[in-house]
Amino acid sequence: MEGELTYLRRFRQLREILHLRDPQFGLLLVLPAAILLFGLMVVPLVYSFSLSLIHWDLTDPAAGRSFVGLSNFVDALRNPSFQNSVKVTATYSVGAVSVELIFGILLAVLLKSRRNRATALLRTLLLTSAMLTPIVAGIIWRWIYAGDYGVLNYMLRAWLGVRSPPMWLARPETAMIGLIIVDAWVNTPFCMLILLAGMQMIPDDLYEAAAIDGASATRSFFWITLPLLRRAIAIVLLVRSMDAFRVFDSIFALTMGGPANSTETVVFYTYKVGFRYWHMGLGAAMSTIIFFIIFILSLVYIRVLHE
Amino acid sequence: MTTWFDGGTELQVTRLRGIIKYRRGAESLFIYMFLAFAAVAFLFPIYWLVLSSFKPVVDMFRIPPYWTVRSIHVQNYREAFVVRPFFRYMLNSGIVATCSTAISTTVGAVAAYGIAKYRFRGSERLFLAILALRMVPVISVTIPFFLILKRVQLIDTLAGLILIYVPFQIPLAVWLMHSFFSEVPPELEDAAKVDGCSRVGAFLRIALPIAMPGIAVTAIFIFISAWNEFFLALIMTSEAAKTMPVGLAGLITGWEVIWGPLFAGSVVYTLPLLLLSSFLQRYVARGFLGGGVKG
Repeated sequence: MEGELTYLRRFRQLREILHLRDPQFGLLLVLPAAILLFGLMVVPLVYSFSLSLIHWDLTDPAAGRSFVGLSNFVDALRNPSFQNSVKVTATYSVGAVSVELIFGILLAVLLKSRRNRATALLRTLLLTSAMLTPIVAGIIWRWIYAGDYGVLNYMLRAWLGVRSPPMWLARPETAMIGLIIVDAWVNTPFCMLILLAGMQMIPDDLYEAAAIDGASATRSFFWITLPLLRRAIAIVLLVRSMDAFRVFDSIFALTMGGPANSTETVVFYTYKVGFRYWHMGLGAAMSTIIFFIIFILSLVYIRVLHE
Repeated sequence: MTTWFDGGTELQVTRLRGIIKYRRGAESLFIYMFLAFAAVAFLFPIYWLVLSSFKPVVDMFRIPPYWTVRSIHVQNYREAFVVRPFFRYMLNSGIVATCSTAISTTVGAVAAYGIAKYRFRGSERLFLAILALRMVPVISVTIPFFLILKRVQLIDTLAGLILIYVPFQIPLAVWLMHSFFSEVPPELEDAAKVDGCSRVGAFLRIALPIAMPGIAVTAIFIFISAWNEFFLALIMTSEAAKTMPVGLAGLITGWEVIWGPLFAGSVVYTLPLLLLSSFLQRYVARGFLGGGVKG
């Protein structure tokens, strides 16, 4: 009994001593998150930067580690495979984002034109493909694309009379198209959602006024909807570009970078360098380059978001 | 459209109305048909997956393919979950996702509350710094993660995976929950404090219950991202801590693809996702457009 009272008094005394004022209390609340983030994100990031300045090949322990300054970066940028991967990534991003933006706008316009339970249901249905695990999406389409027994080629042959439909994932040209289709399938619903929300922010009076002045639906689309959607479109472009830049799961499930490295994106190639060839330093340098590209895109995104 | 009660013109107006109704009807037809076609196109691959998961191997490769279920074969499911260790993979995924979500949601909620309710020097900067960390691409920290986990012998452990998921989840958690805590009226907390409630008490008894729906949504979001994570799990696990996405990808080897369990595993793994994401749709656009949209 006595002992417990002492503990209580000591505890109260401690609280008196530590009497935190409001700002300090707020800081204390943020501290756990800040510490975790610092230790588990900032420190590894800095470690990555430092690794990019070293030559370190895990498959060659005898060579050990040696400081090489910026030569990893030079090697990376001069490396034809890396250059190819940048080209591949750019093609993929541009292709995927264009398709998603166009179809996203199209679907959003259609959904906006009729607000009822049917379109609400259709919207929910259209969002299903965005809910999947990316690797599962890749698996689904690998099965669809399978050359001889894939259902896509069956449909092309039997329903559309295409005599020799392509072996999608086996040829470089069609593999990229195939990947873009998968990306569009997964991400168009997301774009549609953003653009639809953006369209819903446009007041109806503008359209009514235009209609009274004799504007057709097409004109009001191009002269009212699109200009007022600038911000939403910019957001879609930036977010999708950043994501397309980071794509990995679909590549892994569908092509593993092939055929003939035609779908080897920057992230995939860096993965190979770091975790197949085990070049720690070079891999770190490549991942740093990727970091800066994404960093720049994010700065633009934040600027647009806060306009 | 105005109505003119002039004998002759009225007739014309009615006819004009008829034409407009007809045009709007045809327009509606086109819209609904296009949307329905799009819905079918988007849903068909999922249907195809589920359908294929119930086909025996012979039926899978049949041309012309079977478009509907002939009979429910559970062979693929048995092969995946009884014969092969996909039940364990799924359990691993569940544990990692749950634990990492619990940690980041808790830590994030407390931090978001601190930033939302207590202005201290540098709180704005700290908030932006936390948000900025969201932009770090996974690949840029993967090599350090690998080397660090290897050093502390946490490769191929669930704990190791949880540990590296958390730093990616916290910024998202703080970002989402900050807006929810901001919406808690400060008057309520002030009233409670006047009545003798401590600051911690105000958080636990006032702010938390009010913000709970938002916290739940955040937790679901984070859980889903952990559930779907592939890259880090691929690199950091081997067999013991292998998660489902990695396990599924493992059925695609260089020589052959083992389709049966691949389909079955994919279907089962997707079910919880469809359940959870039906809660979420409303909130996605709001977050990305900066909170300017209602519902």
